[in-house]
Parts: sequence; structure tokens; C-alpha cells
Amino acid sequence: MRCLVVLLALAAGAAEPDQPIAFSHKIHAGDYRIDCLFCHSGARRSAVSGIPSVQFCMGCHKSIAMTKPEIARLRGYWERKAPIRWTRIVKEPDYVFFNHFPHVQKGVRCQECHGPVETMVRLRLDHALNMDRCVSCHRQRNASIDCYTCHR
Amino acid sequence: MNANSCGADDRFSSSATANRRDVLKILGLGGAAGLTGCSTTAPDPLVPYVTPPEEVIRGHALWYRTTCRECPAGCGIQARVREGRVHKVEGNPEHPVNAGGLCARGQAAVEGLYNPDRLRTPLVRDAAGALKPASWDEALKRLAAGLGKLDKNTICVLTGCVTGALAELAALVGRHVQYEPLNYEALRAANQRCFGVAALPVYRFAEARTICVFGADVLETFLSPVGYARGIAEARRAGARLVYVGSRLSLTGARADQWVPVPPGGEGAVAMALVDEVRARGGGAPGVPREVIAALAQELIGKPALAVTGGAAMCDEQAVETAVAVNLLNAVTGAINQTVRFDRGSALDRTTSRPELPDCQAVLIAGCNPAYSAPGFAERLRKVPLVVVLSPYQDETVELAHIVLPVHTPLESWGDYEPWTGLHSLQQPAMRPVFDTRDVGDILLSLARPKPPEASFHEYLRSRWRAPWTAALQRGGYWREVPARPVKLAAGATVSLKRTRPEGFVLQTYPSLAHFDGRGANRPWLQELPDPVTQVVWDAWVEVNPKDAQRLNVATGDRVSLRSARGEIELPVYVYPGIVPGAVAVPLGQGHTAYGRYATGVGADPRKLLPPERFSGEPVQIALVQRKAGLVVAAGHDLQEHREIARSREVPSGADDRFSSSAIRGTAHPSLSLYPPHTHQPHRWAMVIDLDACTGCSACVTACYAENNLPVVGRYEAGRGRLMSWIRLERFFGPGSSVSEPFRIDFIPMLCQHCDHAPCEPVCPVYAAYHTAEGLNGQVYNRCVGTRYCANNCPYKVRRFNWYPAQWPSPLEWQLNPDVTVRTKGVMEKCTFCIQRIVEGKDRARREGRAVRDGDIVPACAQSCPSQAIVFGDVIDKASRVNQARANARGYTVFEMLNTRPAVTYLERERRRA
Repeated sequence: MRCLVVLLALAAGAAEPDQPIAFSHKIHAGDYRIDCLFCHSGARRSAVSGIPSVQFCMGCHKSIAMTKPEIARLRGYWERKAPIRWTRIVKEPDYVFFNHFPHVQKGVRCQECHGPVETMVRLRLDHALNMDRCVSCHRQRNASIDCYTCHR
Repeated sequence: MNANSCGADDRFSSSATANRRDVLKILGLGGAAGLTGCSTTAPDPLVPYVTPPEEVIRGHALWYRTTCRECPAGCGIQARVREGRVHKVEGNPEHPVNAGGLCARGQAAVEGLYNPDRLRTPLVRDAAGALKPASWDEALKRLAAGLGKLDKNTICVLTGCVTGALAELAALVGRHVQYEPLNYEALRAANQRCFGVAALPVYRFAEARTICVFGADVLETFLSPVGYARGIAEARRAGARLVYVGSRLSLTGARADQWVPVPPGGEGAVAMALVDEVRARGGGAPGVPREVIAALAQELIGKPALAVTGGAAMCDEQAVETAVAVNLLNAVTGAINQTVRFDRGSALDRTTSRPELPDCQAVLIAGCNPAYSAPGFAERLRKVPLVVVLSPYQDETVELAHIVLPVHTPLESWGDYEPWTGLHSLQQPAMRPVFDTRDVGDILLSLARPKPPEASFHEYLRSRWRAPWTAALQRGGYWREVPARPVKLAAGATVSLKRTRPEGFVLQTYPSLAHFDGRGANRPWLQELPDPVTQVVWDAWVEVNPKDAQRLNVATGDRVSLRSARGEIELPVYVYPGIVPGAVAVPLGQGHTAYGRYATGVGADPRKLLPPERFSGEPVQIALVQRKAGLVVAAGHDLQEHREIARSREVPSGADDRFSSSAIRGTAHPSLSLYPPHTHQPHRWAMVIDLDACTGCSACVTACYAENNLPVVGRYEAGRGRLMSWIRLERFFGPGSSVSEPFRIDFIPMLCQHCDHAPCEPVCPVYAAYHTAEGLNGQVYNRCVGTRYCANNCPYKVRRFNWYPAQWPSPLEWQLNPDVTVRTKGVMEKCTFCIQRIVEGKDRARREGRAVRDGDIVPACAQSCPSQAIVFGDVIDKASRVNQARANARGYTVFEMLNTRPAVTYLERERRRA
């Protein structure tokens, strides 16, 4: 029953789950215009875009905004050498093999799938990432719609 | 409706007051929930690294080169690691021993790593005599207390075949004895007598043009089978002929152009007859026609020859004489110092097959299981006051230990191994230890007296390594040339073969292709790998000639007892035309009593019938115990019934047309179709399998299990014909409707043929089976509803249905390839030509900004093949190797008359006449 509620909530585009650190994409990607690929650099060359490591965050936050309470929490993780357990927003089923790299290479903007992330204080998924969405975009761009492109 | 764990009842009760349309809407949403992974109650969190390892890119595989320690051959391997876990091992293409190929046992090393029956804590025997879990501190304290007061000479360190740093350390701990059950002492003794060198020779198969094998299982288990398979394949491409002399047609025998059957133990007599014939004295051997000897002798002197003996011929009481006879044959044909060389010594030269423990106060056993594999050793071990076993697994020797220390498997360990003098192969951990285990080297280092200054075995190894370290880690070791060491035949080397004819049947044993001396029996892939010759899975068996079977009134599957003067075992019969009357053969490797869930209680061990000093030649009595007790044989049918599935043709010995483009195949049946042909763009993937190079070794089968997440179904399901292998080695006893005369075996690897006119595709009601733009027969698991029409309509019978959810007892699921879906119950699956590797190859090309090149994409089966029998590539690329191979005159497709137009072309096997 619970998952049904979650799903209905997701379908309504309202899921903004709590995160261990109140990370704001709006500040990073919106206000400061940091490129998505700066932190999610895996998307440049790999199937997985990747979440930056604690060390990576600390690379900047050793000297930036150090007094903010959320940064203090981040520093706590770093000092304890504990990983941050983020709540997952996007999850593809196991039989889908999405690969970030070719999409980035072809110049597909991250927002086309992930939505206006740069405006989100709390990250959410505005729309379901279902096959219909993939296939219609692939059709428009004349990309492969062979089943094996994503399922194998 | 998608069956997920949300539970249909819940969903119904929540909408009990709603109307039908609302119910359907909510049910639909529930179905969608299944697709978005709602079956886990909360989505798994994302946990990035705290400090990322520099070399790790998530989603990219890292390869670590190391050395295979599944047998003494010492092949170079590379382990594919994703996010810190080993998923697969493949041969190291730069390694001189195996040059990229790897056998089924080597592939299954990952199942040793993730074996669910690994020891997880040290065990210590308590006052009541039971083994109890203990902490490392406690176990090491007891070990130090036990060993501390002992003189070094009263401590025995018993290991498998080791060299280099580990051997040095073992000698610092105590008296070091290296034990290998199969180490060919008779061969060394014969070489000592003939050439004054007690060593195993290097055989250069690739340079020989007549190869005469006396009982040696060179393609299965003898010394270095992967390297030999490659050498023999090279020799065959240059026109070599292979002759097999033996009393049982082994896999090597099946591969040979000619089988000379001899009575048990008769190999030496044939070798001597050939020696006499070459010396123009005229010779004969019992049971072999005169003209066969004469013809064979002619061949051996006309061309570069190589005679090799091993296997069953090296196991009986005449073994040394047989080996001397073969040495003499090599000497008279000029093979010594040419194709048989003593330049490099073997690591096996320092091993024994009969470990003794005289005046031993303590014994440390690592890397071997002598309580199982050495007859009578368990009794001797019981008399030793302190038995310490360093083992990754529960096994028979662990049962007898006082202290048990769980150690790393080879894929987690440091080490070096020099299989042949000058070939220094390095071993590095491919991942962090799965459990709280330690390196054997580290434990020995802590016990060494005097204690070396290094703090860890890794440092100790590195301080002794005599080459640039990083380069060696990247290449897998370093190899240096060694000076030629010619030998001369000692004057007066003579042979005295005596011929005994025991009462009853003569028992022969042979190391099983899958389990070797028994160490592979706890790997489920190897238990489920059909023995290529008998096609039996999950069992041991006794091979009986059809004439003897008739006399004994037994049939395949009947359970019989075998009794010798030493013991009795019970086994199912396998009626096998490839064993001479009067002999029976039993594979080694099964019959474990304590070797984990997969091996314990499976089959029986024939060593119970044998004296400790030999593996063959013991007389046994056979009596029926139970009719139709059951034996799981994977083969659907033993005969081809003239359907020309695995074709072969008789040719005169000589040059080969393998890649000659002039020999274009004759026109096949005209292709008739009501439909327009497929247009394949930008690639059309195809495969060519050379049946002349294929040895039937089944490495491809296990490679496919590893790459494609194939489940193991177990004995019961296998018996119902539900093996899940996507590629199987079909074995036929002749082309016609009866067992061929002379007896012969044909192999054909059968996998999805990726037909152009695929019978599976049009019958699928949901388009789960479809034709891709690149010519593959796709199978979309998430579309499949499990009607099984496709499997019924497939003439090649290569589709596999998931009758039950697959099981991977933890931590075996760590092996699963993250690039391949784990299929669920009710779904059809089959070979995809390793679509994930195709995608990966294309991605790599795209990253490097170029087009896909020929050879970029290699499916797992082709990669593993020791004899490089499988070529894969793009037919649209006119220059591709696969196109050249398809043009070969030997090419054919299976069931061509069905007009399925497969993408897999087979090249007929050649049977070369003398």
C-alpha cells in the first residue's frame, strides 16, 4: 500500500524526498551556473553519471561557505570518513541499460530528461522517465529505436 | 498483470468501494509500480565514495592481470573488475603459456572466489574434539604456541605446486613438501634414464607435423592444456596430422585424425614397435595391425614429429617403461631437441604425488587437499600431533585439522609463479578479500624463522622480484629467453615391457576435464558443465564397452559396484564405444565427503580402489546393483542420423585451405523467400566456427555462463532437460544412424544461429523475439510472456526457458555481470552474440572518435577459445576476418535445407589420412 501512495505521489510530481544534506541544485547549477558535468563527470565517458564523492564536495567547501550548517554536516561526513547515503530520485528498472555518455556526446541537455534541475532547491523528478519518453525522443532525433539499444 | 510483491490483495482492499473502472486504473498503476522497481519497499540509496579510488570510473571495467592457480599450468589471466568486484576472468593475450585462451576450470576461478562454502572464520579444535569458530587472535595464538617450541625440521609445510617467494617462505617455516596429485613422476624418471634430466619437457606442438599421442590427455588436463590446444591448432593449420594411441578415446583422442586402440597399458608396446619399424627392424605390438604400425612409422620419419605420453599411460605400473619407449621414439624420429626440448624446467619437477610425513610434529597444509586426493594420507595425518590447514574452503583435509585458517583465494592474493623456467608470472589481488581471510604468504611470513624484515608478503614478494614491478603488474609478469639445453640419448636406454593380463576388468582413471584432480568439484558451473565426451553432468560414471555391457547385462544409467582388492565403490554405468573391451574407466574428481554443497556426495572416487602409487591398471569386478538408477546425460541424441550437423571430410594430409580466398564455397541452395531480404545497417554480425580447430574443451560454455549470468539449475532440473547454457558442445558418435566404425566422435558448438529467416521470430505473439538492424535475433526479456513458441519452433534448440527463479547463494551473486539482465522466471533467453560486448565495443569506438574496427568486438566464447576456433565480426566490412573465413571452401551452415540462413558458419572438420 505504501508504495502505491509513493507512486501516486511520484506521478503527481510532488516527490521531494528528504536528503541527508539539504543540497540545493538551485544554488550550484542555477545561481552559480556550475556545469552539471563538473560534478557528474561520469556522464562524459561512462554509462553512469555518478554522484560526487565527499572528497569532491570538500574540494570546494574547504574554503567556501564554511559556516553554513549544511556545510558543517558535510564536513562531519568528511571527518568521520562516512559516505553520504542520498535518497535516490531516478531509478531505472534492472532490464534498462541507459548510457549517459552517448546522450551527452550528442548534445542532449541534461534537463531534457532530468527537468529544470537548476531551479530546484530540493531535487525532484517532474515526470516519469518511461519508455514512451525515451522512444519519442529517439524517434524525433532519428536515433536507434532497436530494443537492444536499451534492453539486453 | 505484473506480479510484484506489493500484493494484489492489498490493492483490492484499498479500493473495495470504488467502481470497476477505478479498480482497473489502480491496478494499472500497480503494474507500473512493478516496472519502476516498487518490489523493494524503499529504493536503494545512492552511496558515493568518500574518497574515490583514482582509477575507478563507475560503469567502466578495470582489468587486473594475474596468474591462474586452478592447476599447475600457470596460465596468465586478466580479471575484469567493476566497482571493485571481479566478474569474469579471461586469458592474458600477452602471456606465453596460454596467449589469451583459458579453460573452463580457469574461468570458474570466480566461483572459487565467491563460493558460498568458503570458510569465514578461523576454526580451532576444542577439548571435545569438535572444530569451533574462533577469532584470528585466538587461532594465531594457538598456532604460535603449537609451533613455537618445535624444531624447524619437525614441521612439515605441505603446499601445492609453488615457486618463488612463497616457496622460499615455506622453507623458512619448516620442511617444504610440494604435493600435486598429477605430476607425472614416471615421465621424469624416464627422462632421467634416457637423457639424465629428471624434468618434464617442453612440447612444441606448433612445430610438429605428425603428432602421436600415447594416452596423454593433452587437450584436457595434461601439464598445460590451453597452451597445447593452441599449439595443436597452429600445427593443424599448417597441415599436421594427429594420431592417438590409447585404450580409451579421450577428448584428445576424439580430436585425433586416427585412433589406434590398444589393450590397457599397451601404449608402450606400440611406441616400441614404431621404434623398431623406424630402425627398419620391423616391429609389432599386440592388438595393433602390422600395417598400421608401418604406415605410422613412415609418417613419423617423413615430417617433423612429436610423440607425447601421459594420462592413463603414465598411471600404471609400466609407466616408466612406456615413457622410455616414447622417448626412444622421439629420439629415432629426431624430435628430441626439436619439438621435445628440455630448455625450460617445469615447476612440477619439484613436486611429489605421495606426500610422506615422517617424524613430523606439526604439519601446515596450504593449497592442496591431500586427505581427499592422496590415498592413505588421512591415516598418516591423524598421527600428527598438530595439523594446521590454510584453506579457503571447507574440505576433507580441514575436517582433520586442529587449527584451520581461512585464506584468500588466488584472485585475492599476491604471489609469483614460474610454471616453466624463465616465465615469471605475477599474481596480484584483483579485488579486496570477500571475507575476513588472510594471505597464505602473510601467515607463512609471520611463522618464518629467521623472520624476514618485510612487514607483509606483498613487500617480501616485491623485494625479491627481479624486474620492473609496475611493468610486470601491467603485463602479468616477465618472460626471458633461456639458453638451449640439448640432451643426448643415453647409450643403453632400453625398455622392458611386460605384459600382464589381470583377471576381470582393468580399471583406468583419468582426471576429469571439469574437476581436474577434484579441486574444481565445488564450482557449480563445472558440475553443470557436460563432460564433452559422455555429456554427463553432476555425477561420476564408469565407462564400459558395449560388448562388455552386453555380457554384464548392464545399460547406461544402471548402478554397478566396482570391487578391487582394496575397496568397493558404486557408480552408474555409461556404455561407451570408445573404450576397448576389457577396460573400464572412471573420471577422477568426484566423490567428495566434505567439500561444500555442490561437491559433497556427488559421484564416487575411484582412488578407493587403487593402490597409492598408481591411478590405473588395477583389476576390478563389476556387479549390477540397481537398474536405471539414473545418470544425467545432457546429449539429446548420440547420432547425427545423416543430418550433417557436425560435418567432417576425409582429406589427404598436407596443406590447408583455411583462409584461401580462391576456394570459394560451391553454390548453396537458392534462397527462396516471399519476403524482401533484410537490410542490415550499419553492421551485420556473423560468426565462423572452425570445427577443425575446435577441440570440444567446453571453455566457451563456461565463459558464456560467466559473461551472461546464466543460472545453474542443479542435477534434478538438468535431468529434465533444463540446462540453461546458451552455447553447448554437441557430441556425436558418427554421422549415420549407428555408431560409426571405426569409432569416432564429432563435436559442434551449438549456439543461437541468428538466422536471417529465423523461425523463432514470426511465432512470438508479443514481438519479444525480433530481428535487429544488425542481423541479430533479439530477445527482449521484459516483453517476453513465456509462451515458449519460439523454443518449439527453433530447429537448433538453443533457446532456454526459465522455469524457476534463478538462485545464486550468497555471495555468488557478486559475480553477476552488471551489463546483462538477470532474467526472471517465465522468460525465454538465448545467445545474444554478447550484445553487451557489441555495445561496449561501439561505445569505445565512439569515445575514441573512430569507426568500429574488425576485432574490436569479441564475444565471450570466442575470447576464451584456446585454439581460436571462433571468429566473430561484421559481414558488411569486406576485409573482416569473418568474411574471409566465411569464404572458406569448408564452410557450411547447419540445416541449410530449412532455409533459415544462419549467421553462424561452420567450417567442416578435416580427417587427414596418412
